[in-house]
Formats: sequence, C-alpha cells, structure tokens
Amino acid sequence: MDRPAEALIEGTARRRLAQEQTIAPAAGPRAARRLWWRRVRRNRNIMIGVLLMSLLATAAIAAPWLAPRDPIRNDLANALRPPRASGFLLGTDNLGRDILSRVIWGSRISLTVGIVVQSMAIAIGTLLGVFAGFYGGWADDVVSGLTNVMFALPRLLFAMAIVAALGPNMFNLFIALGMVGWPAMCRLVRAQTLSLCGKDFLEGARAIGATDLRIIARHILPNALSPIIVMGTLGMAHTILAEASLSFLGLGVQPPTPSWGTMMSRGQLYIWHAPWLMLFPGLAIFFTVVGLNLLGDGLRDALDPRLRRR
Amino acid sequence: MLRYAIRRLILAVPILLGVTLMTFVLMWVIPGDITQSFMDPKIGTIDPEVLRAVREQWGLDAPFLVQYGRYMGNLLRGDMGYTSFTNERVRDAIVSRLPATARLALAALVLSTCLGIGAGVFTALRRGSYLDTAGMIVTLFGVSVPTFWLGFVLMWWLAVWWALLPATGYGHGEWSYVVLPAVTLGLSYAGAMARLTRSAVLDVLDAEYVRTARAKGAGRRTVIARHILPNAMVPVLTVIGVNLGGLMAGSVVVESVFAWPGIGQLFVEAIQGRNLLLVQGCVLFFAMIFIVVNILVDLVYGFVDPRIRYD
Repeated sequence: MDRPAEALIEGTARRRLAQEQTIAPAAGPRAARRLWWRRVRRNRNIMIGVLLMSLLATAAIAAPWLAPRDPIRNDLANALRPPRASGFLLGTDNLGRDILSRVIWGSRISLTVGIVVQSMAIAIGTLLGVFAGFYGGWADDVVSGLTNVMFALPRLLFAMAIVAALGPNMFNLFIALGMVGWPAMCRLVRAQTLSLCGKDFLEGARAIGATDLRIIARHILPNALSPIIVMGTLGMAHTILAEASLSFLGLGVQPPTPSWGTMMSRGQLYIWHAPWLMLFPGLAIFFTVVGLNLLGDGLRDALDPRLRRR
Repeated sequence: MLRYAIRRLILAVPILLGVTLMTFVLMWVIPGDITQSFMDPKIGTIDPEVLRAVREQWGLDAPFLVQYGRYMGNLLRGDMGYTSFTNERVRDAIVSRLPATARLALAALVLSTCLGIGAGVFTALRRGSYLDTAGMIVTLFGVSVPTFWLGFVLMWWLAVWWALLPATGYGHGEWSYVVLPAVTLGLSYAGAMARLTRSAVLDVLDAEYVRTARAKGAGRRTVIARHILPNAMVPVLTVIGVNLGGLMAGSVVVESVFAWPGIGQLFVEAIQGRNLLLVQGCVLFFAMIFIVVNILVDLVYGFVDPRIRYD
C-alpha cells in the first residue's frame, strides 16, 4: 500500500477519534476538564513551550538576582570581550556591558511588550468583535469595514509609521503594536459570536429573560475563550518579533534600556569583529518565539480538537 | 466572470478610501502638527508669525474634513506632496526606488512560494513520518527567527566566512547582489507558506472525492496531480497574496540590513529623518500594492474556483 492511502485511512481514524473527544465533554464539566488536562499533558508541543516560557518568566522575574553584573553600567576597559573571556560568559559589548546580564534583563522588555500589547489587542478586538457579531446590522458594517481597512494596511509598516509620527518610546510602541494587533482578534471573536448566536442555549437564555450583557458575559465570552487564548499566544510571538524589528530600526525601546532588538541594532556595527553582540540576543528572541509558537499550536490542538492541525 | 470582477472592484473602493483616511489621520496625530517635524522648538525658538504663515500656506488651519478633501484631491492627481529637506516630489522618490524593491520582492516571492509549496506538499504526503516531523521543526524555526538576524547570519556565513557573495549593496544590478537579501526574505516566508500548504493538503487528503478517486483505481500520481493538488492550492493562492504584504514589510528590514536601495530603505531613512510626508507616501504606496494584489488574487480565485463566482 502506498503512502497517500495509508495516510487516508489514518486520517479517517483520527477524525473519528477527534469526534469522540468532542462528544465526550457532554458527560459533564468535570469529565471535560479531566479530558482536557490529559490532552494537555500528552501534548509534547505544550510541554516544550511551557518549559521555554517558564525559563523566560524566571529570567524576567529574577533578573536582579540572576544577572551577574549591572546591565547598563559601562566598563570601557572590558569592551568587546569575546564569550567566556575573563569571567564574561557571553562576552561584552562595545561599552563593556556584560551581554549575559543584558540578555537576562532584556527578557523583561520582551515579556512586557508581548503581554501588554496582546492584552490591548484582546481587549479591543473582543469588545468590537462581540459588539459586531452580537448586534449585527450597522454595528457590524462599521466594525467590519474598519477591520477590512486595517487588514489592507501592511501591519509592521503601519506600526513603524505610527511610532514615527508619535515619537519613539516604549509607550508609543505599545500603542502602535496594539493598533495593528486588534483586527485579527476582532475578526476571530466576531466569527465566534456569529456562530454562537444561532445556538439553542442562547435562545434558551434569552427566553428566560437574560439581558444582552448577561448573555455576552455568561454564554458568549466563555465559549469563545479557547480560540482567543490560542490566538493571543501566537499573537504574542508575532508581537515579540515585531518589537525586535522596530527596536532594531531604532523605533522601539530606547537605549540604554536592554531590549534584545536594541542590543542587535547596536551590535550590527560590530558584526565583523564581534558577532556575539548580535548572536545571543538573536538566540534569545528565537527561543522565546519558538516557545510561544509551540505553546500556541499545542493549545490549539488541546483546547479545540476540531481545529486540529494534524 | 465579468460581473464578479466588477463587483470585486467596486468592493475595493471603500477599502481604498479607508486606507487614505488612515494615512491621513497618521499625520493628524503628530503631537503639535507636521510643522513641528522641521521646526523643533527644542532646537531653537520659532517666530509665531512665521509659524502662522507656514500653517496658513499649507492649509493646516483648515478644518479636518476640508484638509482631507484637499489631500484626496491631490492624491487623485498623483500628488503626494514634497519631501522635507530635498523638496523632491514624494511620488518621484518612491517611483525611482521601485525597480530595486520589485526585483527583491519578486525574487523572494518566487523562492518562498516554490520552497514553501514544495516542502508543504512533500511533508503532507508523508504525514507522521520522520521527514514530516523534521519538516515541521525546520518550518517552526523558519517562522520564529527574526528576519534581520537571519540576514546577518547568512551574510556572515556566505559573504564573510566563505566569501561567495557580495555582502551588501546593489552593485551595478548584477544578480549576485540580489541573492543574499532575496534568500533572507524568501526563507522567512517559506516557513509560513510550508505550514499552510501542509495543512491545506492534509484537509484535502481526507476529502471524500480523493477516496473516490482512489477507489476507482486511479494511480498515486494521478490522485496527487489531478485531485489533491488543484484543490489544495486554492487556499494557498490567497496566502500568496497575503504574504506579499508581509514580504513588503519584511523588505523594509531586509533592505536596511543589506543596504538595498529600495522603497524599504527609503521608508527607514524617511522615518529616521522624520520626513513625515515621505513616510505617509510609502505606507500609502505599500497599501495600494497590497490591495491591488489581493484584488488580482481574488479574480484568479474566482477563475479557478467557480463556486465563488456564482455566490
């Protein structure tokens, strides 16, 4: 038997399994939770993702104790030391600052930007998405029109232009990345709301006199939560990459604050003599984004088997 | 088909209007107004009389809607204003950089599409094998690496370590100069492309018409070439269009890494020099291209998938 046929049979079996898993939660919330937890534990992507993200979180929280040196104090006598030279595990930069310490402190910036920007995207996107999907009519027309326009603008470029207009600093970075981050979330939540609005349990809730607000808070949002979490996680990966690009071009976090993108922006001047200035912050970004992508993919499989990527 | 095309074009008009409104608002949100970008009060004092004269000359004292109307009027005549300092037409500045960007984006698009679709189909047909897992890991790395970092790694490896290719610049238009930036840009989109193609092919693999084709005794090659690929490529087509937007944004970073004299570099220079009308022009230009490409993709979509046309 050749490969596609094998794959075909396997695919049917998997689909049946997925169907069983979606039917199972009807057994009750506790059984559903147990099933969910089993899927999470068995998912290798989630486990690796959680491991990488806990490393990042530990670095961010314990930075003052973990970092061997002050990340912003200049030490010109020790400038451009290669890795592992005289006590500098990852070397030093052009101003003699310890790269290991800067990479550890930089995790705070990346994590903060990722969390703040995605919270903004989730807040704005969910609010507008539920509004458009639940009320329909002109509300939907206005919100959908706005989302379509935002989708036509190249996201990273528009974010750069916003920072250029407002002036580069961390607060404006949040605004710019939040502005371009919400449309995708809005589209997702709107679609979720629309598909939920036709369900019987919503009709039931309305029939016993629940207010719009109660229906949205108690019935729509909890049911739309899984895809929001998945998209938020994957969106955080995008946001951290975008922050790195903006900081690299001098539009993000300003020196001397140790951000990975800013470190690389300085490092490119020394690429020929001291490539470690770019290597280590780049690796830090890379592993963070790999972790978030794995976590997002894994959560998608575990939270919603119907969206399984296989 | 013609009706579908016309309807699609009409639908693009409000989006185009919205995009011009967004780029216009971009200039509206500058603290103070655009005169601040070259009359910085932090550098020296500004004569209020001069400021008022400039604002009046540029029509900055008019209400929002009047200003937007003038902006649209100028846009329709192809006038995007002048760049600060050099007083060149924004339109001319962009058009003069277009060939370099088109060359880079095209090379990267071809590379990422071939590589992405090839890898996606290859791994999907071998679902669950070691090659599939390896492919997934490689593409995961592809979507997780910062583009500019990949650029420097490739530059270090191929231009410095092995000295095979020129590191930066445009040369006299030789192809050797385009290789490094195009590979950097192409690789960063090939990963996303491969993952999408893989899941599109997997979706089709389970479809009943594929089972039917196999059941009636069609050979493996026939099933793949006649039944699986044509159907799996429909969603992939959309992604090529969406990717072009990403490619253009990526070109901003890649062009500045490789000193490639395209619109991306122009955009970065404009931002760093706070040349705001040029920034506005570049965003508008990229958005226009993005919209046009997506209209074209939709038209092709309607051509290859008749279900969409007759909706």
